[in-house]
Amino acid sequence: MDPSKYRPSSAYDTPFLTTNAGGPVYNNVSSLTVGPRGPVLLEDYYLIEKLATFDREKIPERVVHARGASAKGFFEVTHDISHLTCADFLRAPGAQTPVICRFSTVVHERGSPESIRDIRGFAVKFYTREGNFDLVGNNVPVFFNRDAKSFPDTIRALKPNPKSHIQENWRILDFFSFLPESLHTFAFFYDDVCLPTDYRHMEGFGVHAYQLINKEGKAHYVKFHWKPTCGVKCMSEEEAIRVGGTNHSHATKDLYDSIAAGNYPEWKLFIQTMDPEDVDKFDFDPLDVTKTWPEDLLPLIPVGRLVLNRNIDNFFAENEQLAFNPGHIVPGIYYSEDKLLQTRIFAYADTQRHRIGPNYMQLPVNAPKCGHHNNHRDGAMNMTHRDEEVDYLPSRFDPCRPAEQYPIPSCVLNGRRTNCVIPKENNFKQAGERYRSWEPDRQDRYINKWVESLSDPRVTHEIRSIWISYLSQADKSCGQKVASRLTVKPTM
Amino acid sequence: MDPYKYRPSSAFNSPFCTTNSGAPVFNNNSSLTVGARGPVLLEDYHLVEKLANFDRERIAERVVHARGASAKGFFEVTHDIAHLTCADFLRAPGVQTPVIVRFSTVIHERGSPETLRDPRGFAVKFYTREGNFDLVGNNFPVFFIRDGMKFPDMVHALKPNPKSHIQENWRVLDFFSHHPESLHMFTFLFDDIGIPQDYRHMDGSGVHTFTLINRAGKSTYVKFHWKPTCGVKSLLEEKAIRVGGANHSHATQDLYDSIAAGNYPEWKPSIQIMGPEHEDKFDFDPLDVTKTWPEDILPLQPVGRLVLNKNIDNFLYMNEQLAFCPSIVVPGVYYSDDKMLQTRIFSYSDTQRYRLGPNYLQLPANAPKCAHHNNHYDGSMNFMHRDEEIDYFPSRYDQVRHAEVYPIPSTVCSGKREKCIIQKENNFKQPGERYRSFTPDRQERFIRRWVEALSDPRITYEIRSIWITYWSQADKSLGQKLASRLNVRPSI
Repeated sequence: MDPSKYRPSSAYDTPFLTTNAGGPVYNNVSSLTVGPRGPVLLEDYYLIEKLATFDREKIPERVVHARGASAKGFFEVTHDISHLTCADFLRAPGAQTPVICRFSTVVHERGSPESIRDIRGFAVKFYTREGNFDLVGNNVPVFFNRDAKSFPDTIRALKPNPKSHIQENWRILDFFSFLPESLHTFAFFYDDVCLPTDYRHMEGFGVHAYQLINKEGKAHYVKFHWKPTCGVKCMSEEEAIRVGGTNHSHATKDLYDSIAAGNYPEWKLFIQTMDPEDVDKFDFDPLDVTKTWPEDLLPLIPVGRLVLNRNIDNFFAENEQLAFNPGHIVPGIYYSEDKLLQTRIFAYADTQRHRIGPNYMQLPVNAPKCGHHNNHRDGAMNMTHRDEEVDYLPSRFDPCRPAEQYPIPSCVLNGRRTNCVIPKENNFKQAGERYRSWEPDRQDRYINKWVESLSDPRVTHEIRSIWISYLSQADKSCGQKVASRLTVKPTM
Repeated sequence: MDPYKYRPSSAFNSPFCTTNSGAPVFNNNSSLTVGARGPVLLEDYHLVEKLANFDRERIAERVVHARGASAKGFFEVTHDIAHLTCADFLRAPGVQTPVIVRFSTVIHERGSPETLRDPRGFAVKFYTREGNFDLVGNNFPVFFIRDGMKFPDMVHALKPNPKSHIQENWRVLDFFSHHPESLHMFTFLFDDIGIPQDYRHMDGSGVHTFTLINRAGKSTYVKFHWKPTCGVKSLLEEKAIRVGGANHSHATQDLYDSIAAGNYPEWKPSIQIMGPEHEDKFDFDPLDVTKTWPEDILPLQPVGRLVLNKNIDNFLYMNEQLAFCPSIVVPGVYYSDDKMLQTRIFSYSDTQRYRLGPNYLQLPANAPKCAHHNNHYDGSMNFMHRDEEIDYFPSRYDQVRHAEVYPIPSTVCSGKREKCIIQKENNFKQPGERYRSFTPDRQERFIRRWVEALSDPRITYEIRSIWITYWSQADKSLGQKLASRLNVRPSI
């Protein structure tokens, strides 16, 4: 299946204008009218074709991460980790894999300023020889909730009020007051790092625990980290107002201009690994997406580098239509049982089918660069040219066979059907440690942010007390400071 | 046809959570897993339903006017114009008609700051007893181009660069350098009013020439104007940066908060009228959408008032799904031969069918409040309950008959098929007059904006010269000032 075959492109341009059916167009500026000033005639087919295509230019924006920018480049292995994984693209130092990356904000709409306090998306699609691997992460290593059953609610609370269309703190703090596990992510969200100066000066994280599996079938849990070579830089609230008020697309422009100027952004990839046998040895659950892994016990291991050295050709084709999916993994990499990751495996492809269409994987930017074959057939806007007569399997007329078996996790899954919260919640410790690791002025800014949010007049006394109690459990002095600023007594 | 019947609404809420098929949901927080920490099961139907719904929450944004806010209220006739039109909603002073109004920016996406230099949409839907009348205008009384054939190109030039996704002056001024008729519009866009303070402090205009027809069948050309009772206020650049940088939805919030506080925005509509027999007496074409009608010769006549006294209940329902279309007129109001208006008659409903679906006019915000009936049947998401057996016309079993004939323009349309530009272009006189009417400091700001736009490094010497020539033809001193600031000699 070669999606670039039989595809219309600018390469087949005529030197003159035509209709989409190829007919010459001798006038592209005036409608066909009754005399020079009369009404327009329905028989002006080209006019109708032009307007009707224009009328359909927009597709639904992403339900989250609608605002973003993308760029292309390569990933290069610099350190051998083939003892951990049989992934072909990680086979040896020096191996390069083409990638496309998309950076984004999360909550607001397509044209919203890139200077808004928000988590930033950091998604990398590796076009490997064994199919695409999508590492769909963020610039923050943890997430608000650990089970995607509350993901739609999480996003709705963060999105603008459905009545007033304004993002409102009372809605955010109401919802998350039921989710104390969100506190750790708030220690990033209300910290400086959620106002990055642009997309180049921020870290990236795979966020979830994944698994690496080697040729022998031995699995290790793994976390992925991207570190920018130009360092992490953030804006103050004041700077963000000026930057976003002057150019609401400043980060898109920065990325594009940097690459155009040959100043290629680069990140180093690191991993932390954990033997599944050690999973129960911590006071937190290592598969809990609201937790980081301590770097003193599980140090960062360098793996490779990511260089973005090419701007995209077309924003619609390679940004709007670009589709990531944490479900896309390659042999040697596997999901963990992290409940949020488990549900993302379903949701991403599902939303792309709505947003782009059932054959979105045939779009050149989404299609694998390697040979591929199956009987997912037909459907709206199918552009694959196929001439086989056997569109079912197995068949005695089609020699196509299943691929070679590659190792998947061998652990036994064992348990009753249950809708429950994980046993080791440990919601406050890491949030407190993070707060205490900061300089006093950074702590101040964090406290200011909390005071500002909790001062929303629609935040009730009950909600305010809950948050102060959460903050106090993470760090007593932090809770006390917020409480005294708000003149509320902690309830614990 | 009653769109409110059989429609699910919050009024039928159960006190507990359910699936969309009504089954009770006992856990809306945790996914169904194999044991407390195991992978998620596909059989968690509520989880899949919830995520799949969430995955489809967004619809395609409007191809233009994506960013906006709406509110409801009423229109009241204050002055009798029944001698000009047989429109029922204009029948006598005191008559009130419910309306919904949407204000918007034009070019940038959903979520873009409401402080960008851009025309503002000003669209009013009158729910009259003879069907809806949509007056879909802007805050400026003229437009960039006079033929809808150019509309997609015009919007492409104004929208962000399809490669870099940044709005770029060289693209804007390249395109419009072929269209001197755009000069008049630029005297509004690059004037202070190019950034209104918010949606309440701006004028509105029907933009096009329409036709009023009275009971006797006599036609009168008409232009519609809306004047805010609180006056027109604008944001200068520095202020706009701060306002938009601090809150990218400031105008949406201002409208919502004003109405919630009982401070109801109000506009006085007025009309200018012209007998079709006089249309050749001017040095411009009165149906040319790039021209205003001189108010000294054709004075503004008061008609009524528009009061917005109710916020919408839901942003998706009454803003995203709200559909305007200039083709929706009522007896007594008709189109003119303005070529821009003629093409809008096709485009708006066409894009709504794509964006919302074929039955978008059944959505309560779009459906008429009066009884209505036809055999436009079935189609996706048809939620009309119908129990007739006759779905064709005419029939001897169905008593429905044609409506009474109402008058439409009786002029003879005569001429060859033509694709051409109107004879009386007169591109420069009105922009020059408007520039000269500005106070010196306002002229200076206008010049500064032009110098800035023309200083884009990708603007060629040729394009710069063309613009200086255009502005010199509008006003000699203006052209000279631009030329000297840009070190370019006008080529005329």
